[in-house]
Amino acid sequence: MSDRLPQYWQTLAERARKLDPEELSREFPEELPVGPLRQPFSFDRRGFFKAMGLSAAAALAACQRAPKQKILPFVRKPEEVTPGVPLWYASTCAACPASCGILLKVRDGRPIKVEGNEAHPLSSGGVCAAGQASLLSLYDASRARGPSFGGTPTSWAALDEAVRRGLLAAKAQGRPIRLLLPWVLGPSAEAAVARFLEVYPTAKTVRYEAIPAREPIASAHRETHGAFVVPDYRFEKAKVIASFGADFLGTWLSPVAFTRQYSAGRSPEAKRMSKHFQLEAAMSLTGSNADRRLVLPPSDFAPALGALVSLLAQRSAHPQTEAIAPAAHGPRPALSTEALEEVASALLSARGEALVVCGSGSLRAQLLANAANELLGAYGHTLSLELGLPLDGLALPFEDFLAELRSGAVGALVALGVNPVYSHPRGEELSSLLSKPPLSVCASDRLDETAAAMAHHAATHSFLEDWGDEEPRRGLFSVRQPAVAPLFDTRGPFESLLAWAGIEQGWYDFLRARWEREVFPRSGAASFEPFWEGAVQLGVADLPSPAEPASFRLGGLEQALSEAPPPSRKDGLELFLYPKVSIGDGSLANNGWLQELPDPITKATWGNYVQLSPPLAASMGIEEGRMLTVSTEAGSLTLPAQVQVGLHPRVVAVALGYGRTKAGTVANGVGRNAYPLATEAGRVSLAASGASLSLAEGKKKLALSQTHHSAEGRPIVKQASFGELLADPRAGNEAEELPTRRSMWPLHSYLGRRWGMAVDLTACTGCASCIVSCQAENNISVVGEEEVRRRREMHWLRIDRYYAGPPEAPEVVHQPMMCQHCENAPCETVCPVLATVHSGEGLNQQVYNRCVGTRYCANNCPPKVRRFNWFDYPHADPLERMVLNPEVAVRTRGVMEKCSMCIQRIEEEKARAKREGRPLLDGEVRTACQQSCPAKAIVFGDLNDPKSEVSRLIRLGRAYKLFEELNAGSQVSYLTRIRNT
Amino acid sequence: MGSQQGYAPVQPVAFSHALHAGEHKLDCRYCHFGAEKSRHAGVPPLEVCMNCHSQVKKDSPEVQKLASAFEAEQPIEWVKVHRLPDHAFFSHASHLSAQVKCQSCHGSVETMVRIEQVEPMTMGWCLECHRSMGKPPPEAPASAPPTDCSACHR
Repeated sequence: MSDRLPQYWQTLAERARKLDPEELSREFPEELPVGPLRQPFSFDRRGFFKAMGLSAAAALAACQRAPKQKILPFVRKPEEVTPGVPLWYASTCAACPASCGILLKVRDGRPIKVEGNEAHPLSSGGVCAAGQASLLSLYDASRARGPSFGGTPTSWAALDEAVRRGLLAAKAQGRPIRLLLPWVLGPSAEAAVARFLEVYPTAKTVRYEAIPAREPIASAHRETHGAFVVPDYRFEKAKVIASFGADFLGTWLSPVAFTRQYSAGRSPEAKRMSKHFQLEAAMSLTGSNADRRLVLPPSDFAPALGALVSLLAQRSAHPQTEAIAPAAHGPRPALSTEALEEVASALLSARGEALVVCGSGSLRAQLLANAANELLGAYGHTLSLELGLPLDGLALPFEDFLAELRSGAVGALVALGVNPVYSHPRGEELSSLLSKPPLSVCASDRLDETAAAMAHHAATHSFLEDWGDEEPRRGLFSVRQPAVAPLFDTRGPFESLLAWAGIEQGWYDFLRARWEREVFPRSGAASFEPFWEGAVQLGVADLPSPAEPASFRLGGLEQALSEAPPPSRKDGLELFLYPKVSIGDGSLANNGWLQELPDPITKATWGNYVQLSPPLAASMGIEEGRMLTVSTEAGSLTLPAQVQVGLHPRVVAVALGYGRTKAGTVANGVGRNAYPLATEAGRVSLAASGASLSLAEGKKKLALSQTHHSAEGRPIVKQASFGELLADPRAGNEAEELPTRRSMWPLHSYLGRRWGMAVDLTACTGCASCIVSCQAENNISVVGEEEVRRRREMHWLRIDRYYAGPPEAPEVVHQPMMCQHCENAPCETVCPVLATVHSGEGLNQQVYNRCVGTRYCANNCPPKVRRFNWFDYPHADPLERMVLNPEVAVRTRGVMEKCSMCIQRIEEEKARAKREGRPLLDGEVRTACQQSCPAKAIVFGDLNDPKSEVSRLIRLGRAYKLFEELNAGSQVSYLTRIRNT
Repeated sequence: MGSQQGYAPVQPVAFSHALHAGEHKLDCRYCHFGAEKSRHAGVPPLEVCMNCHSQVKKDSPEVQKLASAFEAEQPIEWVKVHRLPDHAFFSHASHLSAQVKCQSCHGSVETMVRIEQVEPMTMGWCLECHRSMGKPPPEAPASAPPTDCSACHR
């Protein structure tokens, strides 16, 4: 190794060469563990006796020749079910309001996998990590199992009767009834709400979103275009994208659809690559993919957008340009004029094909983003209001609702699918106010923070058990259907709402009747039944939809900007609160897959932390893990420090979604709740200026997943610029002169197929969807925070994040890393029991029942992808075991495991082709990671077939293999990361 | 754990394969209909039994066991005879499509009054057959039975 700074680095310590190389290269850092597995799976007393009972039974049974097993066939078999054959149902994801199309794999009556629906025009086959993990939430043991009153179980009849009585009393007294709802419900649910409002004339809706995203955008468009609409964005049509704090590949609005569009607009082989500017406060997933990244504190978003609008107006051909520029005038941003000039020139050079997006909750920033898009001629091209999602314009503002609650005016309160006690900065006050109305009823899937503060609880289905629909783009109707009969005595929220409105019709009949009345006539189909069956089967109906055109209104912009003055900035630090790719707003927090999913940037699992920049950390003498107290006028929060490159020096960032108290056994007490700090000047705001930082007692080691896989300085990632690639197809991937190496083992020969994979580092955004997909498909255990800290996470597929360049402005490369299925596999030669051997189709097989756990293979594995089962990782509840894939063995303690390239999927498709008497086609076998990838960055196939997609990709100049200097002969190829710099 | 060869447990209903498959020559797949498309051949749902026995031999005490279970919507708890360990993923469908006879593994079921495991059903026994099919012809390599570990162990 040379003494110069490494070109690529994973941590600041590695860059400064402060890591102990010997420690780093040790696959197993410590001695064998002694004693039982600690949290989060420590046995309680009941669990202990259950386990004891089971071992006693096993001991008794061992006296016979083998334990007797029973077969219980169906009495009457459901027509479509054959035991062992999966059924697939198309549905619509509800893990977030993006409404991606999904397919649910159901084995013997239980959903075991969420996959993307290729037929869905929006998500086109992609699913995000949270969407994948929503499956585990179905089997969450902490879900409410039936309706309750004041925490005591009750019956649905009693609950309905009490709610009806309360609502009718409020109606008779003329007292306000309030319906607290999320902004996005889907068209049929909105119709059910409308029916409810008709029945109760004093009722009004109050809309809530934990992280203000849709409401500020729609509000700005109400001013500038007279339409309370979230536009439909088309990143694939944009040649230049400027994002002001919008993490559109990670958490903003519809990340799966946007990732699909973004990667479609960036194809080096098609000689087409958009230019992406990201202006942000902290390093986001989107920022890590940007071609040019500029940092600015959150309070500078509106000023920077104002300055950008002025620059655009000076050079735009827009007829109203002279009026827009003065309206946008405001304080000067701290950003250099040259940097803004660069953004403005790039945007103007792509007029009509440029797009400005803004993730700020500030109305002023959103108004200015609209002005910029108007000046760039973006409306109707890269974003459309006509195809956008209209929001409820009649909703009562949340602040007014709070005032009503305080005054005691509200006669009845119905909350559906929202949790403001946890996620509103005034949550504590809310928890005492919510029980004040004579009737308070909450419909949610568990007795969460909000439900616990209200009298009645109507336990809801998981979305996998319920009907529904969504219209994420105008005219694009996405159907949600149940994939499993309800596991508990729960009821869909709109079934409840219809019942409380005294409407006899059930939710399914209501939904279907509405489709027959409103949707079907637009389809042009001859009769309703086949149309409906088709829509349910496909999961989606894309119909032409008339919409009123919305045009820009200068007066509206001027008026609104004058009423939304630039924020007054306070001195000191700025606190920036953000949702993580994994945990999001915290509603799915009680989910081990998501808690243990490493953050794409920090690689931290289980909990939140205070992110601060290296210069700020150095000036205060803060080391990673040091406990810090962040204070704003709203309060303070103590969390461990995480020193993060790419952060603005005056910004400290904390993730939302943690510190749940009533989510369940997995999430409770993990991290701290940052929502109480999400306020500035009395308004909900994800940024607060005037923050301060002080040292607190103690240190806490973060549960990081990526400091323990060292490639020991070997060239792992390669990148080049788009310009260089156009000049030379091998740019960044110039062939190195390697001496001819011989293997001491005989070469493999493949008569039939030879499986291989290509991973495009240009397309990969690092969104981590593949990790959860792999986890769900392959029964990969969750090990808990303490075990991750001891480097024992079990993920077969991880995404390595590398930085390049100076820490002030690092470039980031994400690299999915799984077993490379080496031709001359170093693991195979050291296994004393032949538990890892080569298959006749080029795969490196791990045979669990031969493995005796020497761990020699992991020590000898160059990419460090072998994971060892240090314990039997039990599932706390039999319910949670229902998520396991019956096609994959569950590994026991003492066994090594690793990526199998989804061998069960390969064998299934091979067997199907054989049964049907035809050759296996290219693209029929798709690994779990490949299926769910929104960017289509992973391609799997037969390397012996020159016409296969994977063969085409590995012939590209960008293709390279890892560890060629070791003569490993990897079956996985990577394609160089290309940036449009 | 040794092989279960010769295992012939008493079943809750004295069903005779010799009568049904032997004497009456019912096709195996009439009852074990999963075999062609699933990993599991399956034990027939009670309603399949009742297809005939709602009319035939209604006075037999064994058939009456079926009828009362059907009436009560209670499945019969058959004792599993042919068992592979959890880490072996065997597919009936694949073997049927390769023209393997049911009797190759299950013995002469059509002569058995009570079902018995005839073969050892160990890995070595599986491999004997998989290997004896010989080296795959170069023009159709995928048609030969696989001997890779991952063909059965995942």
